[in-house]
Amino acid sequence: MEFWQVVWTIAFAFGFISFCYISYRIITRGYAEIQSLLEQPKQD
Amino acid sequence: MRFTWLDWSLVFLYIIAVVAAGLMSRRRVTNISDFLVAGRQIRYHLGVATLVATELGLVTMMYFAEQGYRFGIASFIIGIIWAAAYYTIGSTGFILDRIRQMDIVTITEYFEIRFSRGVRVIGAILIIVAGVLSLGVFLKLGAVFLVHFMNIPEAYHNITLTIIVSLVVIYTMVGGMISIILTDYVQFVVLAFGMVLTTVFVLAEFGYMDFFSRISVMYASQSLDPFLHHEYGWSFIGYWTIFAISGCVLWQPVAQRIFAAQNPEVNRFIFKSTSLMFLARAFFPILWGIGAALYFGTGSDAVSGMPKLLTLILPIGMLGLFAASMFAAMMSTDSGYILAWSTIIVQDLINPLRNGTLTDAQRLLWTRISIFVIGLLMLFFGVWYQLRDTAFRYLLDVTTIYYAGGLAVLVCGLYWKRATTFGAYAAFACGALLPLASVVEDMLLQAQGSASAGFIAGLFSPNVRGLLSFVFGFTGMIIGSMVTSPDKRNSIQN
Repeated sequence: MEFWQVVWTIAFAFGFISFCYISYRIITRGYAEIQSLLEQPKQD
Repeated sequence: MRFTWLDWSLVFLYIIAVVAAGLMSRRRVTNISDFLVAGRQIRYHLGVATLVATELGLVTMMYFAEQGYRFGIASFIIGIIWAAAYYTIGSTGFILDRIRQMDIVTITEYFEIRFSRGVRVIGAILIIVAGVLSLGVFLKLGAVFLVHFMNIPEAYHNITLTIIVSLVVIYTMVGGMISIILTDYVQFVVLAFGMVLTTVFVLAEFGYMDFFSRISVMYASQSLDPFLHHEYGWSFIGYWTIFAISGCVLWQPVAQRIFAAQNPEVNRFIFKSTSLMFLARAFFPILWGIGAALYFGTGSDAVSGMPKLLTLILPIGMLGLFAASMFAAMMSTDSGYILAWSTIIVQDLINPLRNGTLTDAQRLLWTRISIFVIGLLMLFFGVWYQLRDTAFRYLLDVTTIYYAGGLAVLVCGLYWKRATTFGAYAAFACGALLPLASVVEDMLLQAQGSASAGFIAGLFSPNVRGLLSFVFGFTGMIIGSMVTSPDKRNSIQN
């Protein structure tokens, strides 16, 4: 396997895992932030 | 025609849910700050969702897939540089912290605070030109997707796109930024599932372990090394790096989210998290494009390859989810961009030219009118203009019109005390010179029906032209400021 093939394979795996992990956190925690945005009185 | 009633139901359900969510937020909008920057109340995860959803459009998927199809896996370098730019700015707070501390809603507003009203108006004109020109390809690539993925007859694709743009314009006019953030969240959820599952299906089609080996064979004539690749190389990497930094802070749809965040700490979190998401934003569609080349051969049409492949390999039900996620991508980006440009038109052109006399109610009304007009322009330009090069290259060219001078004005304005108003004018003029001349020449040639490349295009390669534009922008700023700085004038008078 040549050098750049290894680099791109590792980069892809890292990108895939990061995307899944951050998406999970955003989907689970973002919902509460939406409710707070729609309900809270303005603070500024 | 593989789309079944199940797939169509998923698409329609999704569109109804998004429009309903967008309209729901109208009661939360009480003033212009709510409408433009969601009352500056955006927090961590919602900030990432709205930034990713806005910057991940259907047009993004299409142009990355085209890059992957034509230039192979070396195209991954685009995603890596973009992610590195976001991460660096998120980690250091470079530019980011200082602009969020100001009570502004556009970057061009800062140009008036630091320099003059004239610099603000020139900056606004350039960003509107760049923004509206870039919107032109959004519908064009959207149409290619609809025709090839959903088998919508060509005779109906313009009317389909008109309906989609109309829905986006309506919920953006009603709810502004709060509406967009709410719909961005829904769109993010659909996008994330759609993109991950589609990538798994593409890899499964060619074999998880074999995929990367087959790419090496398929693109044997092109290098896997981005530094030696004929399309990329050092000049592209230099140009794209400085372009990516500009995109993090100068692009109004991104800047508007910086100003909407609760505080600078939230912004840093959003930028660092988004940087990792932006790896996959490039990698996934590039991989789908490469899959299309493996399936059909590299001699086929590069733009339509990805939707054609996916319609063949995705199972029933998944076709509908993917189509819904692409609609999500298209609607979230279109709404974010339309609001961004209309904000600039009102905040940085109409209001300053009327000496800042517009009331909040008038600004709200003008913003809604601008949203409607930009929606019309988007439809008109999307149908008329024909691309000569790749869509990615076109977007680089038109955006550099603003970025090349804008980055010099912003960075020197924030960090160099001797930067002057004349220097800022010189930066915009010098930076916009090459890319604006190139785009205008291309349009004039098209209007005359000529297929030739043009004089400007023949002078430099696109990468060198882009890089030079940034060099010219900074040179204009530095020389212009040194010539006109008060210290210099005093020393001449003495």
